[in-house]
Amino acid sequence: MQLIDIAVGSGYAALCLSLIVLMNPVAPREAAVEAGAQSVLDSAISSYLQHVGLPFLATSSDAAICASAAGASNATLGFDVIVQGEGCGSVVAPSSPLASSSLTLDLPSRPVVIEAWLARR
Amino acid sequence: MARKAVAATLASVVLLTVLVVADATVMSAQDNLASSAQTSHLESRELLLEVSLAGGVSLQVLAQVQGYLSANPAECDSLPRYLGSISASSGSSGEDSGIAYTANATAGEAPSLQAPESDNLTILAPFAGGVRGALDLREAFSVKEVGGGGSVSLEREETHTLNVPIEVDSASSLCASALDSLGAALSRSPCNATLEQAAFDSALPGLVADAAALRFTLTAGWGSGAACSTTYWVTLVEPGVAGATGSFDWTVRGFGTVA
Repeated sequence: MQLIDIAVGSGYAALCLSLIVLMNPVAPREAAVEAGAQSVLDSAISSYLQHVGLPFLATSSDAAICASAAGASNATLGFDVIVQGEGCGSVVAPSSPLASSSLTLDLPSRPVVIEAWLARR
Repeated sequence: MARKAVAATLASVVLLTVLVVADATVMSAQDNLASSAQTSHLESRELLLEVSLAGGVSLQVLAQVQGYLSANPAECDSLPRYLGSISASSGSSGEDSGIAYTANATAGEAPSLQAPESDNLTILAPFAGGVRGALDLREAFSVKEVGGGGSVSLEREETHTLNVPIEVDSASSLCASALDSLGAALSRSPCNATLEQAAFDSALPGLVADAAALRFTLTAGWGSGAACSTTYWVTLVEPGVAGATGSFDWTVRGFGTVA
């Protein structure tokens, strides 16, 4: 009888601990943080586009475009603009950013990709 | 001893149950938060896509119009028909970050403006909005985006005003005045090539200067026809027009005859 009690108790404890481990709230919290960071990046890309304009990206030199990307970057937010497959060499994305996002623009003269990332503090 | 064991077991059961319920509650809240954040992200991405698509297809439209203008010289006497015949369309479709999208734009000449007209497509500045005296285009733009398995969608139909900065009014007035001046000069001495050439040479510098003042280059010529008739022509070029996709030259030609 005592043995059965111990077995049932242990089984229930194991079940509860398994449920606690399975229902880990950290995973959805991280997903929410990542989605929030992605929204911040999308908003930053939109602001950058509104600031420089598509005609600038369609006609300007690589140097001017890279200067604009550097000007829009700060300690935590980084930009790179890839024109016809060539990015700005001076801008290096961190190996493990908090979040990253990119937007491909099909411009008349050339394809342009804007990449943005949030660095971990 | 047995009672203590039972009490300890019951306490453990209650404690574990509370822990499981609390964990499930937190998990559910975090799930809702993640779901809301994901929906918010999809919405912000759709807005970004909408802005970039509106700008991208509109830029394609402007590029087509620029291509037409640089490849097809206008005639002075049919400038309104020439501008009215301009039309361009562009589209884009695909998928980005799990969002399927389709965008289309069609544009033609806008009605003439009495005053500058602003437009909210600021991503195309300074080619968004209407400019008096330039070629203004009215564009119908539509976009449809569906993301999150159909849960987040965006559908818009907008009308935009764009401009191509050619000097339509200046070209029209310069062409008319140049043809009038040359016609008047050449008609003074019909059937006398020497006097006609002198009159032409006398009129031309002023016309070139007038054109240069409005940033046009003007060339002109004349020739004798049958029965003392004289034919003359004017070519106006607006060089290096700073278009949305690069600079281009726009040419306007005119002809006249003195019988």
